[in-house]
Amino acid sequence: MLQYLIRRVLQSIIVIILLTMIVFVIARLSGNPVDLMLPMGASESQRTQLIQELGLDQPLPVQYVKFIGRAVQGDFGQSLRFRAPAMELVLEKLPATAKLALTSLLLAIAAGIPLGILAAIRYRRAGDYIVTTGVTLGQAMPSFWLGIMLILIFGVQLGWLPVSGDEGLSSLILPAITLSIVPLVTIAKVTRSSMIGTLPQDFVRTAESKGLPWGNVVRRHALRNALIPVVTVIGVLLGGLLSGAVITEQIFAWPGIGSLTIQSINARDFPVVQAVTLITSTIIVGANLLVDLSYSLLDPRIRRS
Amino acid sequence: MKRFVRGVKSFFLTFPGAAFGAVIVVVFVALALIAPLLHEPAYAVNAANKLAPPQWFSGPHFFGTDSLGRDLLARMIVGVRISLMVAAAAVLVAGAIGVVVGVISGYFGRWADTALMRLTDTLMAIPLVLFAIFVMMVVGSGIRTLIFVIALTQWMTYARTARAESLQLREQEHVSASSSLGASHLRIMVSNIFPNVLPSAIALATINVSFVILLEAGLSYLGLGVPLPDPSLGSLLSEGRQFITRAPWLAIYPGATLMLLVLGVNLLGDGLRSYLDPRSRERST
Repeated sequence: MLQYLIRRVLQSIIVIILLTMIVFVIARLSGNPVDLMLPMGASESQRTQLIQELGLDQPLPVQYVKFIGRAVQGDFGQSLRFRAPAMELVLEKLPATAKLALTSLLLAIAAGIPLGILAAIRYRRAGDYIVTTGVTLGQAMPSFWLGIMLILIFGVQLGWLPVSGDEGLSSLILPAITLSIVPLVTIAKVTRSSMIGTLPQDFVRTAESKGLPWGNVVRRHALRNALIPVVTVIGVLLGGLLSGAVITEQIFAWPGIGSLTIQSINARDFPVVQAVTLITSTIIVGANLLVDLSYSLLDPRIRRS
Repeated sequence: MKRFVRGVKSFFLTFPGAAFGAVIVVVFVALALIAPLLHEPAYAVNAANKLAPPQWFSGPHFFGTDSLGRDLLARMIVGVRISLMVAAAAVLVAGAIGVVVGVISGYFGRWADTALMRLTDTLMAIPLVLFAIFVMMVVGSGIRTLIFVIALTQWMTYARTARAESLQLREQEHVSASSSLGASHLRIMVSNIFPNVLPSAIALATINVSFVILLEAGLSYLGLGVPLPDPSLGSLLSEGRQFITRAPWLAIYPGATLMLLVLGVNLLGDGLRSYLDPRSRERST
């Protein structure tokens, strides 16, 4: 177990190091970052000053090492728009995004797993067909269109719910539903196929033939064994959830890192975008590591392989 | 030819969902082909006629007009053309990179394999949409950049599949036969390995296309995909969000079109995948 743990942690660290290299190289390849970092219409002397300040006259490897040295200390440079450290801006907006993403994930789990179970125990009957049709439609649904339609129906036509900003619980509902559609559909699909594979197995049939109540058999015998692929897919979904949050936040003007990213892109606020990319990627790599470790606890076979 | 027709017929009879999907896809491809005829109404600004509601069959603007007085239906059709071209090109580029990397990696094995697989592991751990947003911002939007960036985020799955297949193929008799006849590595890869890797790459491409269409729409929605004034289903939706209270049709129809397109591609792709890869038949729906 310890060996597996060490290997996975090392792997994650390598991933993050490679990630910083890729971000660094792309940022440098695309031309002089000074042009991106200076506001439009900056003078030539400002330009030279910035080049020296940033150490851009030094060789690339030296620049990279310095960049990493600062990044490890949480220094991603100054935001051009707010004249504040980029890191602080990102951390300030992170709780709002975490609130939205976690609500959506809980929603997706709370709806997706029961729907998957329902489809599996009603395999090739009405309940299954309803759920699989819903999954097919849900997979084709562009989540940003769903968001706009929710705004149109519940915000504009009915006027029941707020459609922009964060003004308490009621303004969380529509963005959370929008962001939850992709994970919900995926979780329902994976739960269904995993349960279909588990239900006919001997240990389930034994439990059933012992005369245990069917509900108990499904919950305690079949579901527990069917959940491992679901846990795995939730780990995969985390990355998509944070990426999806960028678009969802943009639609609902939710004050999280997604909105911050888009505003920073429009203002060409390069250090902030770089900080967002690196911080969220690190979070996702870390979350995937936790998921991997947690299901190796659930299933001892994974550790050994 | 007769055999081909019979094959197609039995395919659609076995997978009726795929037949429905194929009809949708054919209609969209036909729309994409006639799109150049609609260049004038799709691009010509007419300030006098902005945000006109849908007129259906009673006027020239079936789905109404946008904020610059351009015909929405014409812009949607041109948008479908652009979205389909970007998606097809991106999937082709991604598939080509992935298959080449995967075949080389699986055929030679050893350090080349380890290095390339580590690289794909890393890239797959990165939140790709976020990464695409970052790259599009740095490099600047443009259709060619868009295709390249999308391909860059998608080739890894192709590489892994092609590698796994090549690893098995390498051990097969027809490969060792070619090798003992004196065929070069390149020749073996091109004529023995590549044709056998192709079906699974195509199966993968059919499910990948719809994801790529949605990714393109998402990037264009954020203003980082297809640059204006070219329409894309994504950028049309972003205008729809902006005018949601005054002109809801700008959001309703492009979004519904996008959903129908993705649904058609998914249905056709699911059928094709089951057909090309019988192993997946039991596993998937």
